[in-house]
Amino acid sequence: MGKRARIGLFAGAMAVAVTGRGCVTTPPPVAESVVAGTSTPSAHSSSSLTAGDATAPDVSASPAPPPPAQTPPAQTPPPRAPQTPDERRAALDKQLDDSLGAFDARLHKEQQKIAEERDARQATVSAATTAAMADGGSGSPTAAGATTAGTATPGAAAAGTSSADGGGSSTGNGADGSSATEVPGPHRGKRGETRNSRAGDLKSDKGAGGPSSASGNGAPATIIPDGNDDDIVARRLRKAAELETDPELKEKLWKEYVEYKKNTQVR
Amino acid sequence: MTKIGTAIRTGVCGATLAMTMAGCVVHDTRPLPKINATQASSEIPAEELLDVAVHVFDPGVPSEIAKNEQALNKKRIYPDIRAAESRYVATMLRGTLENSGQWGAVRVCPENVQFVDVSVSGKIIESTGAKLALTVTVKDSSGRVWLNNKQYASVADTGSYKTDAALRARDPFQNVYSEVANDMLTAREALTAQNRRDIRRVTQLEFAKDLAPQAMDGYLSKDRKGLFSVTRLPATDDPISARIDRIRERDSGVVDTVNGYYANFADEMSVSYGQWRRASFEEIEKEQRTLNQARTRTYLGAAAIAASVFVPQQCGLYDYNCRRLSTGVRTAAAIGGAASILSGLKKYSDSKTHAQALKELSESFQNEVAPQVVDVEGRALKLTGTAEEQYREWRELLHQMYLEN
Repeated sequence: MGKRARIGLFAGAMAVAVTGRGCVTTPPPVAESVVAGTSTPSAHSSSSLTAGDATAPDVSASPAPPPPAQTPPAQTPPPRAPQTPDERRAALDKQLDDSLGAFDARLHKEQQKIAEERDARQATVSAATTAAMADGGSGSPTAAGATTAGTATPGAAAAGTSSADGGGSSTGNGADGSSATEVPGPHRGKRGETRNSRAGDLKSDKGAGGPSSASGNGAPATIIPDGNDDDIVARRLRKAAELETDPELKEKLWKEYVEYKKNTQVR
Repeated sequence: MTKIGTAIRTGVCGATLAMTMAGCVVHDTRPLPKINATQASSEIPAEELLDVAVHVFDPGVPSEIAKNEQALNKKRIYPDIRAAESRYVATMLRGTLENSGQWGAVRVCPENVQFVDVSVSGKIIESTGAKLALTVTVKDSSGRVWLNNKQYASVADTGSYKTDAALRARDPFQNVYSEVANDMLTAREALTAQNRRDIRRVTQLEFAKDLAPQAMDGYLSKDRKGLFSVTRLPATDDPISARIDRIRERDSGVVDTVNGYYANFADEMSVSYGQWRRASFEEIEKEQRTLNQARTRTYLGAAAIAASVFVPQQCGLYDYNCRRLSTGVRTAAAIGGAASILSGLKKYSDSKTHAQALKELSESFQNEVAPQVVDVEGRALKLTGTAEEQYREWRELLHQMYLEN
């Protein structure tokens, strides 16, 4: 842009500023409204005071005057009361409409609140369900494992074959419990492939290394067979051994597991 | 020896009799056959579709023992739980009716909501994890009584207690709600299509009359039986009626909102309530079983002692072997009887433990649910109170409009 053009623009801007017509959104001058006698509350700015309005001293004296009091009675024309029946009916209708509208707004707000509460609760419930499933992956089997540990003779466990897969659901935490009892160590890898996105796997995956890598949790670091071909009894024994916290009992369970595996392989 | 055999046989028979009297049979806790609400098989014309208001049930706490905690505990009535149940049961019934597809809008609402086609009210007679008993009254807006204080009761469907998922899927007392829904359907089916249409009109006109008594006077009449019927209808372009219809839409909005409060409340309490019911069921069952065992053992023990004392000596005077054996049997019976009575007493004590456990569980659940009841009722009252206030204003406006017209 050339120098002359800049000077021209500047001159133009100055001219607009001087004539006072630059801003379209500016309200009409306050003095005009006061003079016209249509003072609105917004018109009672400093300009009304400077205009020597008769009400100005009172307004400044009262700490918080209500807006209608600021308006000089002489300046506002009294609202014309509806005279004809039609006008009166229209006024009543309008009043009813306004009232219905306000009530609608209130109802809408309440209904929105209800919907929000419902959504929040559903979110909490789904989060709790997920958490329960996560807990179920490591929690419920403890109980199942403990009971199995006490009674896990091969025969007894074999008799409970059907319950090993589904029975847990009836004694545990419902559907959550059933999935929890169905996560034996060696099969976790396989199951993990199918449901690796579930939060429940996070906890159970902690022990997914199985006894061979469980040297820190009391498991003997001796020849523990790979559990990939475990049958239901072996799986139960293995799980019980994994979950057992008493080192002695844990060792016994591992022994029992190893022996059981040997026997089944011989057969 | 034959005599000894007879004595033993008598003893065995006595013991069997005692066992039978003591009621050895434990309650049958198999899953119940499922009763479902009859589903609508075809579309019901809109003008015959009746709206239903299920009022919050009466908690059924007897006033004479309302302040006697011991008596309430004995009857397994926990007032705060009953207060929650009075809303929960209504919500469950609403769900059953709504899912059947046989009705218009089905809403749970407080007692002061009057202008609905069909209103259901009821009272809880008994509610534990093991049993639910209700009385239900159903009326339509014309004053016709569909069900009059009819009693419904069912033991829990143990299938629902098996898992949390099962509990979520089906209420243990769903059969009760389904039976009520089916009875309501039977009552509705007994009405003609014209009756149903009239019920809707009567509801509409009753509401209108309540809002604008002067303008809407003379549209309804009451017969000798106390049934309302429509005598004439307002003109289709009647301005007051049009305005009343607009207000009625808001009234439905209020009822919907209150229903939303109750639905949220029931949803919120459902998990812990289900767990309480299950625990309650188990404790009641254990208590019952222990009590039965206690009775059996006590009766058997008493019978054995009585037999040892009162069974006449049947041995010959010089039959020393028989006498020795008989004395031995008597002594053994007396000792066994005493042991059995002691064992029975212990079982009685165990049953008290279960009762105590149930009491503690219930108190814990009461503490959890009581604030929720207060909250939902407070909200419902606030909204209905505001609405009442609003209706007063609208009544006034309608009155002025009527005068203008």
